[in-house]
Amino acid sequence: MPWYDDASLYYGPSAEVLAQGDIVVAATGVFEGDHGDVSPASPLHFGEERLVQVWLGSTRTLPEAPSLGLRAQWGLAMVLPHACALEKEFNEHVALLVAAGHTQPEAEQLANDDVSLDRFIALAPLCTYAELALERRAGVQTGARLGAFPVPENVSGGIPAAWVDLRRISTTDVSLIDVEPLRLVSLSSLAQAHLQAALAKHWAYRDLSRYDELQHAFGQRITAVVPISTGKKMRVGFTLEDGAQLVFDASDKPPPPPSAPARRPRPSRS
Amino acid sequence: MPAAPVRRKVTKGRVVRTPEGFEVGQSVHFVAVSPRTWIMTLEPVEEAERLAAALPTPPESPWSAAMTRVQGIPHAAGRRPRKAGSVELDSTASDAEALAFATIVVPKRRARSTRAVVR
Repeated sequence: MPWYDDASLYYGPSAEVLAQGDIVVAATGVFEGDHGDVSPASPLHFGEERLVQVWLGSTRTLPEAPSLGLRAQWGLAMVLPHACALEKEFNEHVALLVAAGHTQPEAEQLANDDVSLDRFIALAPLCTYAELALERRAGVQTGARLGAFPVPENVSGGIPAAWVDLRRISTTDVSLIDVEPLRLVSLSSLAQAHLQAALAKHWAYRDLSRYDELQHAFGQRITAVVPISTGKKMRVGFTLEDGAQLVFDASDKPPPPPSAPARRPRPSRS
Repeated sequence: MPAAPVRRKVTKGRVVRTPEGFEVGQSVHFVAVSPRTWIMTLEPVEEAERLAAALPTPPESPWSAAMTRVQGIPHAAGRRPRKAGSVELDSTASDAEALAFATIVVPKRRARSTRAVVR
């Protein structure tokens, strides 16, 4: 059974701290146009959504900001940054404090007390398949669809078969979610690798299968790819699993780098 | 034996816009009917709760097992303590590295004059 269908392959033990792919209880949100109202009360159920007015514009001209609403959702969300990104400022601060003469425990204590370190975390909401058009479900469930990441059912975690909407990523103060009971499950190393691939595919629109095709063509795993700078000409060196070195030169007339696809013009605001 | 009445959330609020039958400044109660539906009423809280208990049971949420699992846990405040690890070094990408990434891990699609087809 593939990783996206097999909970024993997909889920793994939790790390001591938050890690990429952890599923947590959190609020996520999307800014919208001139919509919303004052929210009467906090959501009571997971999956509940509020469209609230953030502010009201009055002039309809710049530099004033236009009216803004926030569609906020309460429920389960997936942690997207790599664990190293979640600890970067903390580790830097500890190193600085130790260099300044503090002991390691003192430095860690001081850094733990500084709530400004690594404060922001990107999350994407978990959605049910009922929210998805039928013809798109198979692509999402198998991890093939760009902008989505599958989540198989986890009975002990109370998580139904769901999917992560990578188009609705929002930033949250990590202190709102970084408490153990609010982390329901964690991903295995294999599922984390698939999440990283899904993020690269969605955000950079890269087709990672070409890398597999290269390895297939070489007949073994690529262990290193090193760009070699030779002035105007591009040269790339590959190291294979058996230690073989391959160097490829770009042709004299490389194709132009890809540019952003033209977008359909959106209607102007009246 | 009759089923126990459903205890729904009733929240106090104040009218800031005026749907029919309400005036600005009036004190109201909101009764949670379903995750996306609330009833706003001018009735006192006891009557709002009676009204809430009389409403039919909402359909079960797909998230009910997760909600049950975290039921009663206090809201989060602060972070769990961390232990220092190695510092992730910042790094730049040279033109060659950026082009190697863009070439070896190829674009999903070439630029088009119109929007791409739905995948």
